[in-house]
Parts: sequence; structure tokens; C-alpha cells
Amino acid sequence: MYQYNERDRSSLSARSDIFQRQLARHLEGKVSDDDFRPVRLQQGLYIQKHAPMLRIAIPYGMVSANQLRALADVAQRYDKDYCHVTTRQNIQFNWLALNDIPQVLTRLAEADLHSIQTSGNCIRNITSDPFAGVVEDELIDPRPYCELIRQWSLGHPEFAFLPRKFKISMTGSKKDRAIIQAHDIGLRLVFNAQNEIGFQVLVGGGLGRTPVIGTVLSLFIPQVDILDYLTSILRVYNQYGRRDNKYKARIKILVKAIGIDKFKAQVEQELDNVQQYSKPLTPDQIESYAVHFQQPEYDHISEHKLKQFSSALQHKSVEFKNWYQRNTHAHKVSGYRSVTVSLKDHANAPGDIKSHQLQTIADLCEAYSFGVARTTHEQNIVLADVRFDQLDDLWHHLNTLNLASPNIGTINDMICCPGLDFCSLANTQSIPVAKAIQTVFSDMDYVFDIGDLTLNISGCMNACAHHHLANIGILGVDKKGQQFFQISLGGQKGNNTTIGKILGPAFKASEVPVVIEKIIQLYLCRRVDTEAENDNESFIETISRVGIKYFKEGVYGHAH
Amino acid sequence: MAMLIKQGGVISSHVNNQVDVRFAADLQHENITHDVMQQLLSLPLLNIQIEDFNDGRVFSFIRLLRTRYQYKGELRVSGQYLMDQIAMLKACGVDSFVFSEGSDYEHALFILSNTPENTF
Repeated sequence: MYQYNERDRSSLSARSDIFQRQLARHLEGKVSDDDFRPVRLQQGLYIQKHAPMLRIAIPYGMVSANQLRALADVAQRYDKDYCHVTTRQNIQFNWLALNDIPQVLTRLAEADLHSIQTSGNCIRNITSDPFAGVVEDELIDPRPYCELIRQWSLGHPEFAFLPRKFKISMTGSKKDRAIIQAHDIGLRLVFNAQNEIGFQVLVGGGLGRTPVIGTVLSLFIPQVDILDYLTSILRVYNQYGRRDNKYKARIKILVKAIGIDKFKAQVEQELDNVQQYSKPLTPDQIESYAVHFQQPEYDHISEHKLKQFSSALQHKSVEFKNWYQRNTHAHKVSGYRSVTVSLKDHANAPGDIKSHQLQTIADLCEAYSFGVARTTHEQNIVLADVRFDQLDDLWHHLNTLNLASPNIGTINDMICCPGLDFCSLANTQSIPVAKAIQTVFSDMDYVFDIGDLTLNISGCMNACAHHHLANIGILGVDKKGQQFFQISLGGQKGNNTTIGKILGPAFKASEVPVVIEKIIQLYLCRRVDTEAENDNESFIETISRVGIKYFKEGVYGHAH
Repeated sequence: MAMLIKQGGVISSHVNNQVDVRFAADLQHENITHDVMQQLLSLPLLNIQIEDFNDGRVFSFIRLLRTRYQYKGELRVSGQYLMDQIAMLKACGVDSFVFSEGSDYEHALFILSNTPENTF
């Protein structure tokens, strides 16, 4: 992964010094709340319901063992002994004291971590595929380009006061695992006919109260032009994006308002101007990022050993086999698997992780995965490079810590925002609903039978849990001071990103688990089963084939 | 080093040639006619008055003055900007800042001299 150099460290230290002075001035009453607000937000510091919340940037999800230990240390010393993985691959602390923020930032900076631009109307931390560099369907490793964009966007003086926040995501694979169609800018690395590397650029995607699927702005931007092209998009947005209404200020609204053709013309005109004065990127510069993401020194595993492992697998415990099936994934190098550490244990809120678990994951990624882990937008952690014959040991360690629930990709692997329990924007408590659903689906045989299914719960229409893109989406709404939950079906992420359709009138929290159970029963009644259990028609396939009306009638009766 | 100027204490030699450009809600650089822009560009000092610190268009406007329009004179900002924005304004091309009475100049200098440069 990218290693900070002396310049990176001194820059971070300088930014940290400045913020600490700004915070001190605010605490001394020299700066008003209004004037301090953009400053603290650009530092990832929110004033939340109970305590300040600090969001730490995990650039495109890559996090080292040393950094995991620093996060664990902060959780232990300054928070309630846990932290939270967010749906943009970041880490949040929810219970810090304002007076401790300087020490927290200093401790994090020791591990090259910071909270800059994790909030505010600026370019946010770039996200990417958690399986970057190891997955079989990858064309081009996105991480060097993510790092390039991270450095370009960090402290960008022109784009720190945009009309609204700005999120970029990138994939380098055939299959999108970075939700590029639901970002302000989505980037897909591609080869052109001459076998040159470049980007397909999507613009104007996003969720929130106005969910929009991104539109292709360009089919191919050469890699050396990507920063100029991003500058052009951002400059058009900065000048023409709406500033009179924060709910209409995202770039998706601008693109919709003027149309993609006019927007594209403006970007291209701006690009001509930008390129007259910019320093073009050089292939050497790009290479200087790529050297940080060289393939680790994988062991060669003989065919004989692979066969041995495969036959040994038959004799492993059911628990291990279930975990292997659901929580480990194919790797591009023979003899290796990628492992998802499940943060969806019934005892914790989705995405929460305790400091001792973080400490152990740090040890485990050093022992089994080249000292690096990745956070995922599904709120789990990936150890990407685990040797076949070490999976058993790893599983034992994870299992001891309740981090081996074999539920990845199932209904129990739900994505959930912090909701009203923590967040001052939320209307409803999402976490108790998540727990209630998990309780209904505690029989793992039943969960495995249901198979692949995504279920996301957002506590308000800001849609932090991406509920629009879930097979089953749950949205908390406030109706005259009472919490209700609206259910949508048929959403999906990936190459065919689709926004789910609302099923009907919202339900009380207590009704939600029963309704979800009903929806699952309706699915199981209609799915096309095959002899091989893994090939059964999935939930989303059944919805696509049968249509939402069947589910609507099943849930509400024919009257609706 | 950018100049820090107290309200009313602007550099006297420039006063006669100073033009105030109000960065208000209706101003976008393409609304400035070619003739007006040429006139602006010929002046030794432009004072850009910021009415709302959240209106980040001013950063692009200043960048454009320095790049596309190749403005070589002094660029000054005054009005309702935040002291915490001055390093970004400077990086976009501002030379001088008009501060209100009682501003914390030491903090301003600290920000200007310590903010790392974005080299892109």
C-alpha cells in the first residue's frame, strides 16, 4: 500500500497544527460556531447527538496493521472501546470528547492517519474496490490512480467550498464493486483499442433524497489527462451548481437541469482552457504511484498441496466449510483466497468493531495477509491475501473473536447507518431494526437457503446505508413524531445498478421484521430451485422475473 | 508573503487605480463582458469583495483570472471571507487580504506560512 514520505508527514503535521490552533481559538470563544463550522467539517468533525463524531479517512479502504493498532488505541483511550466502519470505507469514532480531539489527531498522525476532507462541501475521501489488486476479473489495479487522486484532491485550494459534498469512486474490474454509478464521479479504468489505459467517466450519480444513476460523460479519457478532466468537471460544477438550496446542490441536480450534452460541452470547453495552463501528468509520475502497489511476494503453492487442501476441506467442520463458502473469495493467484472478516455479528451494530478485535485483526493481517487489511462499503474488513493452508488457523482466531459469522452476502450481512442512536440528522433508529431482523434470521441453515441477498437500512433520507441499492431497502421516516419504515424492493449495485421500488405504505418498527419475513417467504414460494443448492434463483432474480406486484399483494393484500 | 491590510489602511499608491469586484450571488465570470474584462485586466489592482464565505465560486474565479485571463496585477480580497480560507485564496492567486479591525493577525500569518502547498 502507499507509504507516506517525509513530505506527506510534514504536510499532515502542519495541517494538524493549524487545525489544533483553529480548535483552540474556537474553544476560547474567538471564532463563532458558524465560522468554525466549515473548518471543523473539513476536518471530519461533526457535532452529534451525544458527543462529537470524528471520521477518519481510510484512503480507498487500504489500512495497515500499524494503522489498525492506532485506531484501536484511540477507541480504547478516548472512545467507548469501539469504532465504526462506514459505507464509504472510513472509520468513525462516536464518543470522543472535544478536548481530546488534538491528542486523538496526534495519535492517528503517528500512523499516517487523518480526518481531513471526510466531511464538508469538498472532495471527499476516494473509495474503491476492496478486492483491488487481488481479484481475477481486474483489468487494471485502481489503487495507484486512487492515490494520485487522493493527493490531488487533498487540500485542493479551488474546490474546498463546493456547492455540496463531492464523492469519487473508482473500479478497475469488469464487475463494479465500488458503486461507481452512484457517485458524483464514477471512474472505470479501461483499455482503448490501442491498448492504452484510460478512464470511462460517469457523472451525476448519487443517492440521498434524490437517487440518480450516473450518466456516462466520456467513454475514454487517457490516464495522463484524468486530473485535468476532473478539474474541468469540478470547475463547471463549482461555478454552476446550485447554492440556494442544499437539497438541490449536488452535481446530479446540475447535470439533470442542463442535460448531459450541455454539461459535457461545458466540461470539454473547460478542458481546453485547463490544458493550456496545466502541467500534464507524465507516465513516470503515474509509475511513481504504481511502485507502492507491487504484487506482494506470494508463495508458489504446488498442485499437489492444492489438491491436498481441497481434499482436506471435505473433512473440516461444518462451521469452517460454511465460513469458507460465504466469507472467502477467489484470488487471482493460485493457492490464495481473500477473506472477509464479518462485522455483522448479532451482538454488535453492523460495522461496529471493538478495540481488541481491531488489535487482533492487526496481528492476523501481519501473520496471514502481508500486513494490510481493507475496509469495505458493506461495513466489513477484508484480508485480501491469505494462503489456502492458513485459512484454518485464521478462521480459528476470527471465530474466537466472533468475527467469523459465515454471513457475507446474506440477509444478515446488512448495511446499516448509525441512525438516531448517534446521528443528529437521522429521523429514526436504524440499529434496533437491524438487530430485530437479525434475530428473525438467526437460523443459519435458513439464511443459507435464502442465499445471496442485500438488505440496507438508512435512518433517514440522506441514505447513508445506500438503501436504494439494496434488494430489500429500509428507510426510516418520521411521521408526526413517530418512527416508520418504508420498504423498497429490487435495488441492486454492481454493473446493473438499480434503484429499488417502494413497496407501499411504511410500517412501524415492530412490524418490520414480520414484513421482511413475509417477503422472504413470498420469495421462497416463487423462486426456481435447481438440484444444486447454490444455483437456486436468487432473491433479486426472482424479483426481476416475477415483478414487485406479487410481493406488494403478498404483504398488503389485494386491497392495495 | 501576501500582504495583510487593515480595513481603511490599504496601500495608498494603489487606491486611485483600484477596482472593486463584488463577488455577489449574480456574478459569474462569463457575465463579465469582454470589454469589461479587458478593462479589469489592465488595472494594477483588483479588490474582490466576498459577500458569503460559503460561495466557493470565488476560488475558481480567482484561478481563472490568473490562468485563462493571465491577470498580472495585484489581487486582493475583502469582505466576508474566513481567516481560515486565506491560504486557499492565496494558493488560487490572491496577493493581499483586507482584514477587519481586531483580527488575529498572528493566526493569519501562522496559517499562511504553515499550510502545505498542493503541488498539482
